[in-house]
Amino acid sequence: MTTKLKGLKELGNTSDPLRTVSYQVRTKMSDYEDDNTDVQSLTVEEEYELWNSNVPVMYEFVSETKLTWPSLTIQWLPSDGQSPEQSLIFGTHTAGEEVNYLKVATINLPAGIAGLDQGDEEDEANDHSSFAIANKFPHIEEVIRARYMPANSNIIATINGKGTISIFDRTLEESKAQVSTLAFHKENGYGLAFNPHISGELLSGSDDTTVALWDIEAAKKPKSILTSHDDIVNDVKWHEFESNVFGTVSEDKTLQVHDKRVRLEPVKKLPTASPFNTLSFSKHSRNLLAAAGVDSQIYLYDMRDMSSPLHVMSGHQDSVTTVEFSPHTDGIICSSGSDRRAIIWDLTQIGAEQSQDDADDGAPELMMMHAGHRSPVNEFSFNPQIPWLLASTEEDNVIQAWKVSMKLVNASPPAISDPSLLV
Amino acid sequence: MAEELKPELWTTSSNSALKLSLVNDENAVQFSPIFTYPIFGQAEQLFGYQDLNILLAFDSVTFKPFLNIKYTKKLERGLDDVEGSILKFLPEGDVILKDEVEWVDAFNGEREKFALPNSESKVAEYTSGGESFAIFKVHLSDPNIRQLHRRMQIFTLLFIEAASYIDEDDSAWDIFMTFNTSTRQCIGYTTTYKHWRYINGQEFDSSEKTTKRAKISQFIIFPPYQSKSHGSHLYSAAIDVWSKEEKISEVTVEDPNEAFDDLRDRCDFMRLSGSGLSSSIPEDVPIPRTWLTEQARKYKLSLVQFTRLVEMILLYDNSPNFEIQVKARLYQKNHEVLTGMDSDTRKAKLQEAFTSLKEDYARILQKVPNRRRVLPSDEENAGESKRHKKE
Repeated sequence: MTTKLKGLKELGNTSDPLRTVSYQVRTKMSDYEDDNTDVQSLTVEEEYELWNSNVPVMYEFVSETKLTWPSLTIQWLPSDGQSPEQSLIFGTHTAGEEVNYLKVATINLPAGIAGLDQGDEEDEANDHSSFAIANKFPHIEEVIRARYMPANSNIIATINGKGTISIFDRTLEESKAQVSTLAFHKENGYGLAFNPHISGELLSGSDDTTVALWDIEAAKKPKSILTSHDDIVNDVKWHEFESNVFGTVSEDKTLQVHDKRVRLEPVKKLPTASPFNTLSFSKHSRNLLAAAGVDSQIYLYDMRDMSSPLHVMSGHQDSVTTVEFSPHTDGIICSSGSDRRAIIWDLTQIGAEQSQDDADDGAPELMMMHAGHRSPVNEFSFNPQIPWLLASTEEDNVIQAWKVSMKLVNASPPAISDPSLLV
Repeated sequence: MAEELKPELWTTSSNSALKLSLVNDENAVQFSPIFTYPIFGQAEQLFGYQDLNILLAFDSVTFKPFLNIKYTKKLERGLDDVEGSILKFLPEGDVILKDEVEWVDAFNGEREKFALPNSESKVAEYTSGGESFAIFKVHLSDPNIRQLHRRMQIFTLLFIEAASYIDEDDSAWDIFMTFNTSTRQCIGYTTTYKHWRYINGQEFDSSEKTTKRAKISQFIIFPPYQSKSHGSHLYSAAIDVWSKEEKISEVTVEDPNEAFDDLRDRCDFMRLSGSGLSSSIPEDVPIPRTWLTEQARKYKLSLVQFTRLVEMILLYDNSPNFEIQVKARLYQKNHEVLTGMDSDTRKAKLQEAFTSLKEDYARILQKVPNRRRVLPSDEENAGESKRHKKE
């Protein structure tokens, strides 16, 4: 049986601010019509329709939610195992027209998607997801970035358009949930990262060119301030294994690696041809690092020798906004861009042989392109529980949750019980 | 009507107008390009001339270029800039125009200083037709090689579909070049690139295991020297070098054409059967993926190419497992489509694909020089092929 896809186009016209359309894909390969439409010449809407028609071959599941205001940030929250109920945090950017909020939403995924028992496949109810706001916390100014604290995911930090950091405890009543305000930065901040190893330790980076290190459990003043950048700090990230090490990228065209025990000067300072917007440390290697920015390429570095990149990945057509390593699968990276795309890369395929047809679609390491957004993608997040499930947010008030098709993931061929049946 | 107004009189196919020559001491060998669209545009047509003849000649040793464009009539306006189009793809200021004597003097002068790459970069040597050849692994950081490559790289555009010039400043390129050691003529070359290879975090962090994939990008034997096994020697030399290089874990080929696929299959087949792989192929069908993966890695081949070769060996050995192995792989590869069919249709589809693949393997194996056994399709040559000869 084949579940027909629901047209997503109607979404754009809906007045319902929180309407979600989702579907579980069980369409057969043969339903996919390979056409040679020249994608370059399509309008954004035509491109979206083309993407929509290709959804069955690329995804297990896609859900799209239209919001009243755009969110600049998105992050899945951890939960107990692969439950069908998953939560994520995002914010609003009302441009001063309304009160801003930090929001927690709950998505109920179809059981099969969450990795649970497939259940009765005829059961229509199982095929659908729901998206509901669980909490909304009033927030001063727009939410530029929101992050939960790994040691206690009830604690959420945000940074706003004025560079002010707010700490929320989402177990408290909505109006009282903001438990503290950390004022130091003088301007907008895009960098916000909790140390995955040390509870309460938070880094923030700002347009005011500084990076601040906080212990949110101890004081409302930064523990230390870093001034080694000469221009807007675009991102800050902790190393995934070394609790003292973090990286920063800036408009000053440097990528810096710091050790918090060594103040003032970075331990590594890499000049780049154009500024990086984002960086990410591997969760599976101590030495692998990815960074990307305005030149649309993803640069991979070996921290032992950063003099030249290991490899450069091309696929985006505009500035890259976020890059992140998969928490589950070694070698998998996702990136998002102002070109309205999120791309999943498989580093193990770098330099692999490919047919000319495949080469026409992109480099061998370009595993999949998520083309469901109609405006620049601000940020995305890997679900920490469910492999290959991501959420992404775009400038035009849309959040999408999507799970990559297992057909793209599983390279191993089906078992043959009795080969003699083939002859 | 004035003839100026009849466009067909002024339109020439650029593929037939362009005549290439390699000049040696005795004569000039002339041949035609296969592609000219990278130089003259997609239509491969030139407008504005009658009896257009474009002679692009190279000294066969130094590759010093010479260009002479001839025609009986040309239009005053709207005509294509033939000379400008070609010069864009040759080293600036290097091409001698029209004056043949000047060109001959120039390359004779250059020849006096022209030397083969130094012997440390020699990776293979062989004789063919009574002449000696050597293959060198060279790098564009060598100014002599850079100049030679700049002159000859136009051949990649003229003979390799979708070729483009490589980035000379990217140090990851290595070039393997074959020379006739007595005449110093370059016979052909291949540009190769090393890509960083990521296997997993653990292997990456133990730095001694950092591996790379070596890719054969452009591969060309100049037309006068083709069909004399120079291609096999060049391919095998590169493979031998990479086999010994610990950092190289896999060899790949960028967009091979059919002729190169055949060359590659034959050379890889010789290498694998020469190493005694035949006797170690498991009896299970389908052959376990773990064995294939492990062995492919050992021979530094991609899984797809290695599996193909194992199938060829099974056919060559008349293995009873050949048919089931091929069909099982085809089934796995196309199972999305095949599962929807009834058993008889499925078997018929598989049989059809199997038959055509078997014919293709047999065609390739026919040209393998040291066949150990005779293939059914080639029985008339049985007597000759029994001889074992080392290539």
